[in-house]
Amino acid sequence: MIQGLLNLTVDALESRLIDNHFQPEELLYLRLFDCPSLVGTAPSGVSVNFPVLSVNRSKYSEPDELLNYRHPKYAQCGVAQFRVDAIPPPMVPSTGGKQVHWEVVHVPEADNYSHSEVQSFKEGKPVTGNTISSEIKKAFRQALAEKMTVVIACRLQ
Amino acid sequence: MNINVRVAAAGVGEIEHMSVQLTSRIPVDESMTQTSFSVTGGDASDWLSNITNTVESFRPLVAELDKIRLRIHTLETRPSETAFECVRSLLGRLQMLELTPNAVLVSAEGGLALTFEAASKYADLECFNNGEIVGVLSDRQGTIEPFAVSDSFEGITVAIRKVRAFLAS
Repeated sequence: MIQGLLNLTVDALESRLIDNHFQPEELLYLRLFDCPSLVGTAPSGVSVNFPVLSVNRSKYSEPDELLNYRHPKYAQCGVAQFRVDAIPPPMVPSTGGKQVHWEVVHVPEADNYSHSEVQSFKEGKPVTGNTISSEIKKAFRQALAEKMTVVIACRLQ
Repeated sequence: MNINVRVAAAGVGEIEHMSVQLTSRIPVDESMTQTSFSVTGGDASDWLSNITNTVESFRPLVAELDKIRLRIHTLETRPSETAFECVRSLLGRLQMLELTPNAVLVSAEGGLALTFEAASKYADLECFNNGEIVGVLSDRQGTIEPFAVSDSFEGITVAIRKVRAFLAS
């Protein structure tokens, strides 16, 4: 009885903490480790992680918060932003490969409530390993990067 | 062999069509073994000037590679020695074929990439830490063509020619 109540409380707490309501126009912020791109331009697709892309969301954070926590080296990184609806549409190789699609998911961390991830799904299941073709991976990274705008330039020397 | 990628409906909003063509293996060009510099004039001094200019245009890229080595401890995704070897190999071949990249970048996936830009067009050749090479061509208007690059003299030559032809088209 008591355990059941406890489980209910934990479930309620988790459902309150995780906010998977992303508006299409909400901005997502990506930390850039190596970016010669100027503010206002798009970064290269090689700046995009795959199959899971860690980002912060504008609903709960500002772009420069990506540079101000955890590790001093982050202070020298840059930041690019993109809208939720800029996430590329699903891709399916015509050779019979399985459809891959992407979704943004709120994944709060102890020291970063804003943390979210653009996750890859193959046939509806999350992908974490290297099981998606290099070409799909490359197309996704480039397509998303072209929808991004650098808002803080890197200062890595 | 060309692989057509069908892009299905977007998750939100109306259906989008993004033209993505995948090329898993690029046909071998019979002329790819020609490695001489192009000579724009009959004068020997022009030829020497071309070579000198080409070599000079690569100095910043080689310097950038050295800078990456120096700041590698600050990078979350560290390029492997295999990736450095791969980029050096690409740079050598690019120099021979007189195509100068705009930049050397550290890949978020681990590895290094050479990027190319001409007007609104973009291309890159990315060397992953395991030695795999993948390229991409984009007109930045929604047409993106990724392609696998064979890690061989011929494969790299064909890939460079593909990038050059795209940028010049």
